[in-house]
Amino acid sequence: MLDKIKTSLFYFMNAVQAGKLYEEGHPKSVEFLKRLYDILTEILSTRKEFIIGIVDSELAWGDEIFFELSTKLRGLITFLEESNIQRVVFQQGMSESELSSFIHFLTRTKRQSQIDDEEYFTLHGIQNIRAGRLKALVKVEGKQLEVEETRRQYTSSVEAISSSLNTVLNEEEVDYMDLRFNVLSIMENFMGRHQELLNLVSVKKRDLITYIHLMNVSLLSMFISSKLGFAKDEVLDIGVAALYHDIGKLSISLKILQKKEKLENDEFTQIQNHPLLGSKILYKYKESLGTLPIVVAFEHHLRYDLNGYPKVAYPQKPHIASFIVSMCDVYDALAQKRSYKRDYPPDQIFKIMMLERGKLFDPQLLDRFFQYIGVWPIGTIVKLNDKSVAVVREVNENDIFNPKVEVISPKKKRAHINLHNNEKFKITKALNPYTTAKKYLDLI
Amino acid sequence: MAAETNSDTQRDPIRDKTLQDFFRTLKVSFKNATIYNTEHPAFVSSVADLKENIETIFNFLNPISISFTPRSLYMDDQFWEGEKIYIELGRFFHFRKIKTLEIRPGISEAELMRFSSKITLSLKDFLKEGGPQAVIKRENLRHINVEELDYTQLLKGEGGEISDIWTYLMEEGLEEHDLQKLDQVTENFEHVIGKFNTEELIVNEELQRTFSGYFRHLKSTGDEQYRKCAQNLVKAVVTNRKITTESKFENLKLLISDLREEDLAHSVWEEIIVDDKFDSISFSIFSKLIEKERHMKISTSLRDLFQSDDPANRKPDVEEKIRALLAGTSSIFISEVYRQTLEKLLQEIDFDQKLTFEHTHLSRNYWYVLLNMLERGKTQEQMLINIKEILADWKEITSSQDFTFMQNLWEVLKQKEKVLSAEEEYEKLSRNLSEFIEKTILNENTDPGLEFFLENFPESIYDTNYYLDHIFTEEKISPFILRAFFKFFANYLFYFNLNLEQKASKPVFLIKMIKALESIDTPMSLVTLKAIYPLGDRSLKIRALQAMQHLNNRDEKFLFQVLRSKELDLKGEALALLIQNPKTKKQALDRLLYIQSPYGIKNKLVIRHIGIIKEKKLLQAKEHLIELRKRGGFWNRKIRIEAKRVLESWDAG
Repeated sequence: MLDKIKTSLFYFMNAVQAGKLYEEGHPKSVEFLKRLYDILTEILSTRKEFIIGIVDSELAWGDEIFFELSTKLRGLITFLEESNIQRVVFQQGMSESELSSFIHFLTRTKRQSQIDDEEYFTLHGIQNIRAGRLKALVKVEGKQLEVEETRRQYTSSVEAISSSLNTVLNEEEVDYMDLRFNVLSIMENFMGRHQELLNLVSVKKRDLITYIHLMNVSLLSMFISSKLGFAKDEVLDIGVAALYHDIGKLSISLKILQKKEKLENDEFTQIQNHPLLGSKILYKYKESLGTLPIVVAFEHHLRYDLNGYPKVAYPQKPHIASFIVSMCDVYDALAQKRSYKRDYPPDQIFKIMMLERGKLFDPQLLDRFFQYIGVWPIGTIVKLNDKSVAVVREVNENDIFNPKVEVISPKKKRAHINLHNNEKFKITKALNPYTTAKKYLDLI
Repeated sequence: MAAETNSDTQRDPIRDKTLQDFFRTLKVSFKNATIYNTEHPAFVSSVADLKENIETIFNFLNPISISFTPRSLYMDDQFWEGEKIYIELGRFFHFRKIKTLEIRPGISEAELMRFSSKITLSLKDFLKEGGPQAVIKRENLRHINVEELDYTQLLKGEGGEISDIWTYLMEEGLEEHDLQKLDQVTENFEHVIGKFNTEELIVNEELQRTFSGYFRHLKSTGDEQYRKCAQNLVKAVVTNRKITTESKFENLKLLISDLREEDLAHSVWEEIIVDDKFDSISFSIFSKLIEKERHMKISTSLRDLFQSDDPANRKPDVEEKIRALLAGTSSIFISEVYRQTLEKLLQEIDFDQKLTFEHTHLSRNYWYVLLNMLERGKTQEQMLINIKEILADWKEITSSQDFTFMQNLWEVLKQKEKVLSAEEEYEKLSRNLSEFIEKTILNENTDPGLEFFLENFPESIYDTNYYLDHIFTEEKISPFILRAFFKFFANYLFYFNLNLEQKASKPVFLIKMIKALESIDTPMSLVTLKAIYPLGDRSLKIRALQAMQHLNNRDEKFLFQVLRSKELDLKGEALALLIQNPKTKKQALDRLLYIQSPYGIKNKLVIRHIGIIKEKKLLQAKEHLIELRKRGGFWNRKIRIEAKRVLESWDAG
């Protein structure tokens, strides 16, 4: 029985992942649902109910806590925790359609969650399944918890990302659905919040910095792709490709990458060849990851003017996904503080990147990039010309220099201002979230 | 069951029957009120029935109170719905802004008659009378009370009556300077205008007056609101499929005469940018809708709007839309000023390219990644991995017909030949490439990308018969096929010509062959054309000689033989070829024009030859003709005349 229980947990995870990734009725969703239903029916043939619980971030059944499945079922655990579900009860008599509705309930996107859970269960006739919410929703517990929750989700995502990348670096098998599921979670949780994340998450651990960067690039790339109107599958593919675009670099010794002295010739060659190396590594995963990560890894340092590296005999105009990843890579690298470089303020990043318009970057794509994220991205803490401090709340796509802001200090001046319509106020500079803006972080 | 009770107690069927009778008599009274005057016996009698019913109801319900929704009634603690009569009465009262009707004891037949007469006025007239409260007051209906519906609730509804209510609200707002009502119209204007039959705006003067007044009010209150509403009005008119360019727009022109040119330009701009329905018909209606003298100014504003920094202007869809507007069936009705503006915009705006996720581009780049890796490959193992990957995608690669990629692949394969030629995968890929290219050529494909392979392939992977079968059995002929055959099987031309002889009775095949040969400038083409020459009739022979003109090689012996033939047109073609070479020119012309003709016995033939020269306009024969023009002897008079005539025609031409 224990084996069956364990298998059912995997099937449960698969069904949830398929539910998130595919439309209802997709053959994959149907297949995974059927599998889950069959095994649950089998389990419920000998007992009245089957209860799965989460205890200290581990899955449990009865007295059994499945520590050994912790890594493999991390996707399910994180998902249930993020959904504030700590107990799922399947009862005898459960029908396949009930199970389908339940999976749909779990995987519906946040935007669609307009009715409360009880109402949903009643409406969909789910009588033999219960999902216990032991924690109150984060929202009602105050801002601070929300911030903490974001940090927790972010760190958990970074860990998932590092695990996916290490799988490839260690030449282990990649669980594609699990990976896409993680990327989807990143997209749903953080999309359009790049600057906000820079404000919130200050990771000191050096070994995590690279993963954070890759996750941010993935996030930004998905945001831009989605704004460009790409299909959901394409957006997710780009998200995955962005995660792996620097896998070649990851496999080059950290010493070379962070060396402050002039690089030796062979070291320099190694770095220049990292796109080639990355593609080679990703070849092995063509079946599971597809060709996009290979192409993006190969092309992400090729420039719009076809210069750049690797130097090849037959340079081609890079694919739009490579251009997007390359742009987001540069943007996040400039925005992040590193041991060897400062973190640039957004307006400075804009200027630096615009200098490369038509050279490194596709001019049209670069324009769109800033049209969508603005010169001052959402979440940027800025100083206005009247000395007040504000936070950017919305980008004006038609006027990227003048977003909508909310004045946060001084308190008496608190107001929402659309700088596009208001000539009296102008942004004079951005405040660094780690230094000058630190004291305002609590106010946003 | 039609009625649904809220109470748990069993309802009294007699009581329900009384109420149902009441509804019926109420409806009959209203119906008669619309048909007859107040003295008519039918109307009087129906009101009497109604009164009697009301009195009965007072026995158990006092006062009588009925509430209305657009599809039901609520009376005596229950909903009355589902049946036609309830829907009709509910809708009737609802659209007259009546939420609840109360009838109190003491009501007279006269009161009921006055009430019935007024409430059955058309909705428009009823609202003009001031609505329910005003009617009750004016008609002194002391035993009737109504609770009016809030406009906001009413206006959410659907149906044709809604536009009347909006009109009423507009009129009332304007008359009473009630800003709240007018603001309500403004806030909902996009919805409001959608409820109107815009054709009515063209013909109904009263409606136009209301709209004019309303727009004047808007202009006086705020530019933003005015522009928004004006835009919606213009949009509603121009995108109405029932309106044609033939419609009389005079009244409507008056209505929008207060709109500024910039506003109109802005409306058109927005329509082009965002509205998929806006097409050449819409634009032509707009052209007709606006006074001609305003077009230039609107057009200038429109151009300015398109030249602003707004990224929406550069969207690829906008370029497509403008092109569609210019090419649409009704584009001829678009005023010339706008047409010119749109054409200029197409030249001036640097439109964005469509930024899409191209799957074909991804595949191509993936193959190039493999190719570049192969090219840079240092170890045999790595190179073979790349080759295997290319082989795995070979089906897709070939279906893409990307000959540039294949050229590059061939180059790289050549480059790696020394290291990899012993490898099975290398051999397979090389063969696949050659096989695909040769099959493509044999399939009559003449893509310029194949040229490279014709020049670089040293040999064919097929034998002579494979080619001969394709050419002579399957009748596949193209310049590339013939070039390939001549290159790979130069020593087998004999067999080629043998096959050709079998096709002597197939002029269509031979013509196709000649056409292909004329574009291949090789000695073999000439040999083949000469082989075709004796196979066909005169026209085919002419075609073969004409084809030779495209080749640099000449067989002078063969051409002089043709020159000796009796057929003038064949002579002409041969002469046209021989005359191009200074060495054979004189000999050929001498042979035709300087024939020994003592006392002019062969002058007729000479004159025919002059005719050939004239017809083929062989200017190189000028000196010979000058000579002939001077030829002495009276018997040569006709030759002189003919030579002179040709020379004069050339000088004139």
